[in-house]
Amino acid sequence: MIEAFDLHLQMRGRVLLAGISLAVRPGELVAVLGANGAGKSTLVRVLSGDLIPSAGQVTVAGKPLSDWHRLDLARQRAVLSQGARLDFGFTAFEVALMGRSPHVRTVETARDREIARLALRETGTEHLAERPYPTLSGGERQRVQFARVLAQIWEAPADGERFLLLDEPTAALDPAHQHLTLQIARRFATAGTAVLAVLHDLNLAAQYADRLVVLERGRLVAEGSPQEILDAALLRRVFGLDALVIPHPHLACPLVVPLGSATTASRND
Amino acid sequence: MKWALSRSTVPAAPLPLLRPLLVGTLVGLVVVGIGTGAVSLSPGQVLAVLAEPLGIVLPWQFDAQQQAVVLAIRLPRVLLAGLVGAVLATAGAAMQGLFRNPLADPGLVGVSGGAALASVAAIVLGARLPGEIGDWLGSPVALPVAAFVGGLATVVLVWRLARRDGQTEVATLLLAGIAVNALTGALIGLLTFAATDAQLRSITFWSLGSLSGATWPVLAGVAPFLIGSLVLLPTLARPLNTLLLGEAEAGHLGVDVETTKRAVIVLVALAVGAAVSATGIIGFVALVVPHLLRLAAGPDHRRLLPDAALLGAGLLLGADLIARTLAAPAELPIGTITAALGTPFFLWLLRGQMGGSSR
Repeated sequence: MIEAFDLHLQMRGRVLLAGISLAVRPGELVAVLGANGAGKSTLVRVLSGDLIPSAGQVTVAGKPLSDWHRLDLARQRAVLSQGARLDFGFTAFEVALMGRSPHVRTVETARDREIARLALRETGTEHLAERPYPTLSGGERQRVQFARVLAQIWEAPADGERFLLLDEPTAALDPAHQHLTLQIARRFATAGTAVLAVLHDLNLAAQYADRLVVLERGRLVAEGSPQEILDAALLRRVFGLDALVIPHPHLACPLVVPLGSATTASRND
Repeated sequence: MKWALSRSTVPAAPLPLLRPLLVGTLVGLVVVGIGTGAVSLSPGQVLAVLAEPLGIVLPWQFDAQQQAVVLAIRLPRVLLAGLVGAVLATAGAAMQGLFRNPLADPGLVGVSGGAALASVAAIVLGARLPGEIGDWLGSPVALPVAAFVGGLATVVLVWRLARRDGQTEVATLLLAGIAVNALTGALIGLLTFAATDAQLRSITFWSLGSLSGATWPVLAGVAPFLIGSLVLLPTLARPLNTLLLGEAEAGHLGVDVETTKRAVIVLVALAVGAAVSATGIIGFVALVVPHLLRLAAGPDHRRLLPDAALLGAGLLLGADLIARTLAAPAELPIGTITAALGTPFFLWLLRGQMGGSSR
């Protein structure tokens, strides 16, 4: 379980996070929603240990982040950050294989190479394996990075849980690959991984997440299952979006039908 | 040699023979380098001279003069050229990995300049300062140490100047290099006013780079630093690979990012400092060699760092051979040769980088 207790973060006089507490349990996919600048990426960076909160604490499997040995943590927890840049000509396969590095003692084993290959297959990028990363398109790069992150926690450790933090994993992807990505995240969750994903697409979140966490200006303003919390009032207030929320005709989740921006009409009312 | 010199970062088909080719070329250049000069030897004679102290007698005959020239002059020079070339190329590759930028060359960004400034300061001040400090600064041991300190200070300075949020912008990096090089150049110029005539000659040597000062004592003074960094830098190959993904990403893969960065910075400063203290500023080796090898065999530091050592050694031996023979009996500063070869390459690389950054 990943838990956050009353996280606060101020940087250069700005309040980025204000009193956020949440938990991501094993087997659960939690989606973080919020408008631009609401603090979603900041939250992921604090949860992953990249940023130290001004106050509050993050624990992974009950242990504060600072108490973890970094290699032990890396063997169980993977993080997909936003906009990871790589200008050097590693092949897609080599990038995926780097996900195995916390498990490697001296040289990658045949099993490590097999896992990297499987992770590429999972994300639909196996045909790109020998292509140099800088020659890939934005969406292809994102899927290869996703494969690297999956390869890192491909196998559950004997005595521990797995954790997956995804910051906008679908940002550069076409619709089919957005769904593929979340289906994979869903499968990892079903296999016992605690998954947290920052998403922009409300319907993706509604369809795949067990729980939604909604941020607004660094505060947690709503939390619950998609059925519980997704409604027109929330979307208008948090996203400035006029939308219908109707039951999905085929799936057991709500369907958001955006009508337009609410900002010109009645924002801040 | 088949270099796939395309603008793209596509590595050519894997070259399984690359390593043997590099080793063979290096050995050949060592033998030719030792045999070439006013007193010349055939490759067989070179081998015979080198084998004799080991108690092995080879069928090639040589005379006492040839033996003396090889053992007293050529051998230390060739060893120094090879070591310095290997160290510069390896340090360049590591530094480019650290900055995540293929343009991070110790010469361009000012690290060599900082090391040279500290060396010149040690020479000039060593003669001026009274007492034990002056004596120590004037001693041969002080040079590599001073160059290391100067190099370290400049790497840290450029590191601070050129990085924003874990990224190095090409423009900022090069501008920081211009600023640092201008400053060290000016300060070296200032020190020349305080220098004697003999010191002046050696100061020229610092700024152009030369292997003419290669003697056994000089080699003995810097070899531990050169060999040390050459052995230790490749042990950082795996963390350097993950650092190319980004500092946060490397951290999430279990790499101790801060320790790795510090180790690379210290080893690069050590390597460049020792190299500069022995040979002055020899530019572009550190830029050209890693880039060619990345084109040929990809960016994996586990392959790149040892290959860079081999090719860097070969390149500098070749450049020294040109420097010694082109205008014989006069000798060109080797820095001018590497600069003449490296500048067009740098401009071509810069075009690719600036064009690619809008991606």
